[in-house]
Amino acid sequence: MTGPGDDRDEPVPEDRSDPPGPEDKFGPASVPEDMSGSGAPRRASTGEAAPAGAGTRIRLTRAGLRILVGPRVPWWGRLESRVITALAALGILCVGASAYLVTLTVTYFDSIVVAAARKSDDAVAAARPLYDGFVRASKLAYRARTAALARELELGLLRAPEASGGPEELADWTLAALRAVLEREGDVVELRLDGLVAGPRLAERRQLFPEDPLQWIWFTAGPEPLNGAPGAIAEGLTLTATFAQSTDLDRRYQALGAAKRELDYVAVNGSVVDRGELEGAVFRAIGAASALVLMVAFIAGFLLARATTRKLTTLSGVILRVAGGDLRARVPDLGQDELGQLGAAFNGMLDELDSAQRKLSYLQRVGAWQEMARRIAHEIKNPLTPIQLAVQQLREKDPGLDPVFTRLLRTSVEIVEDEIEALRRMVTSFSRFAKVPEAQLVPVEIARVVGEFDRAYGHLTERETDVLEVTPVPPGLTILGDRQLLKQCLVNLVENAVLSQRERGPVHVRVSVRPIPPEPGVDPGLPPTALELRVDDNGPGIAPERRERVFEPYESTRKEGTGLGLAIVKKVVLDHGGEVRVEDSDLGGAAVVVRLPLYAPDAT
Amino acid sequence: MRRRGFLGLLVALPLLTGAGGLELLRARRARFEEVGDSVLMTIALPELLLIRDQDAMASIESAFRTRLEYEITLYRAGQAEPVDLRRVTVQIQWDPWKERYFVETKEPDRSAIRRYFVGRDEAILAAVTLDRLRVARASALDRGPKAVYFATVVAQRNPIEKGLLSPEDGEGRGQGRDLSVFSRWVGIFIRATQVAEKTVAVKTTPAFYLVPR
Repeated sequence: MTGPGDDRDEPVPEDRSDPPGPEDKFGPASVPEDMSGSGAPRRASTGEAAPAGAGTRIRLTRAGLRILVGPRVPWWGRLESRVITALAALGILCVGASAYLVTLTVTYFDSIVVAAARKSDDAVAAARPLYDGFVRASKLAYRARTAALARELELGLLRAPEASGGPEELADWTLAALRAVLEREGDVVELRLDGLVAGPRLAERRQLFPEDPLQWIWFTAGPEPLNGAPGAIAEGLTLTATFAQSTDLDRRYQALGAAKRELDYVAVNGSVVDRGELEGAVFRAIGAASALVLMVAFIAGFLLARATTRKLTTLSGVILRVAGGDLRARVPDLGQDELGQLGAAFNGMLDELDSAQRKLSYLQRVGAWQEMARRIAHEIKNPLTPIQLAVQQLREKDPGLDPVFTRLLRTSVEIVEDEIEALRRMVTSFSRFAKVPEAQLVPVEIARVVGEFDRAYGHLTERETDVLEVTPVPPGLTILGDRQLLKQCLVNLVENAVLSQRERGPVHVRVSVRPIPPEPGVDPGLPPTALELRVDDNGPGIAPERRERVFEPYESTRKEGTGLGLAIVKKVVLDHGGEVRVEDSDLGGAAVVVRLPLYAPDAT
Repeated sequence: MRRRGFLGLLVALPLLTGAGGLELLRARRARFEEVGDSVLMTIALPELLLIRDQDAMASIESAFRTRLEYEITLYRAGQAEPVDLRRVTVQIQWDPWKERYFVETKEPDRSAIRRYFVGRDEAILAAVTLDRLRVARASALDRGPKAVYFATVVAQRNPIEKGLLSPEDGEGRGQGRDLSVFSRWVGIFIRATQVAEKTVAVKTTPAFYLVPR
């Protein structure tokens, strides 16, 4: 037990200047006063102190143990901060690497597109000289054809008899000749002959080939001189020809130019965007998407890290409380993960520790009571016999002279003898309680213990209506036990049950044994590790608030009870490493349930 | 307070820029004449087709047609509603058959006017100058110094025809839908869209009024 005097053993000054930290939250200040058992202030009882400059602090537990608590961790050194930082760094690394790769990819494909566009530009540029060449060649061809037509007309002038006539005849002939050529040549729009004395002659079909950017391009070749005409009818005769060129090729060439102009633009969401601007927008979009992903990852990482480290913080706080002596501290439910399992296991360990501590405390109390019972029995038992002999002598020495006195004497002596007998019985009980031996544990089958009990104590009372029911015990249930003490326990329990019901009516007591099935979550194929010995009765039962107290020595509800039977039972059971409890019985009364560990020879 | 003022300025910025949108137009000298019932405007926008613009010159010399779209809006000073709106299309092209430049001016519901030039620079000057263009009917305008008018001219060189651009992918399901979503995402980050190779927007100055009769 820890008391104020513990502080004397630790001459380090208290560090009251420390700001409140997690350990303060779960530390000594939160440990209830009643656990200390001394009523001393918490800080005094735990003796928290810090050596100057060392950073570490020393705590004294209730058991007087000194534990070293590490220095208060700054926020950047905490696990939570480290996990969050690590997650953030990983997120930045991954997203940054992805963004860089995407940027490289975009740049790479953009360079390919630029190269393709440049090739398209080159192709268009290559088309230009072709178009120029085509135009030049066409014009040369038209000029050559005009020259050829001029030569043809020259020959006609030389051969045609009408041509040797007067100016009018020549003019008529030439017009007819021009029309004939016009009919023959499919792309000629107009033929004009100048230099005739009778005036120029024109053959045309403009309506058929209108000069229109969407239909026909006109090209005029000439004037081409004609030789051989008589000077009297013609002076400087020339032929001018106009040709019609289809605009198909020109339109295609213009379409090529329009397509070239559009190479630098793309349509995005119905809007026209310059390719360079689009590349920048893609980079910005990737950057924004990366930032969004990073933000989501950071928030998720933060929450995840916080959820994990919060469990650790909780666990650490509970451990610190336990280290400070608060064995009632328990880890809250931390979920199904490893930390949750660790918390559950820690709670189980604390439960075991608490149970063991309570057993120890009970055994200490019972030991003290045994010692007191032994002394009382010794002090009372010795004078009883002289007192009894003295009063018997008084009764025998009475001469009987005074009948009134004699009657008074006999009555008084009977009273004294009755009380002496009562005291003797009490002393006997005290002696039996004080002399409960230490259990000699050997492997023993519980069926044998119950069978011997049944044979020896099968009759409860003299009454026919009273029933002691001993149910068959499953074979193979072996424990490490003391057969005699266990039988004594059974006797005590059955007697207790009989005495509680005897005056109320027929007694029904049932003794049963069963192996305890594995707990939920444990492999059901595993063998049982404990058995349950039950003594049920149909008595008045025990109120729930008294079920713990009935095992305390000298705690009884019956006038003639000593309150030692159940105390002996509990002591014996605890000596066997078992547990005992009271619960309601299906017979209508109370059931005392004894749980005993099964003997496992292979267990270490 | 400073932070609140800054936030207020940020919120009001779109309104300020919207209200001052017209003021963002560059000022350009223009000449207005009243001839009969017409108000004629003469203005030059040489930056639309600069001679030092090598790409534009290369395009012209390659006999590719260059199209200039003008949108002339006449406003009365102090009023947001336009008084008149005209659109003019001017094309300039080298004709390799006839070895000359031609400049064709076309207004809706009017026949095109073609002018021919031997020199490139003359043709360009003619193309970027709106010479005595009818911008309004005089009878539709108020007279006197209180009725002041000005015009805005938005000119585009080779407006981009969306039909010529490659169609957008990304419709449908699966990856196509993802592409569509990504396209919309990228669209958010586009700062400037393009409607033409070059755009020039000016506001005529000084303003004019019709002399009272």
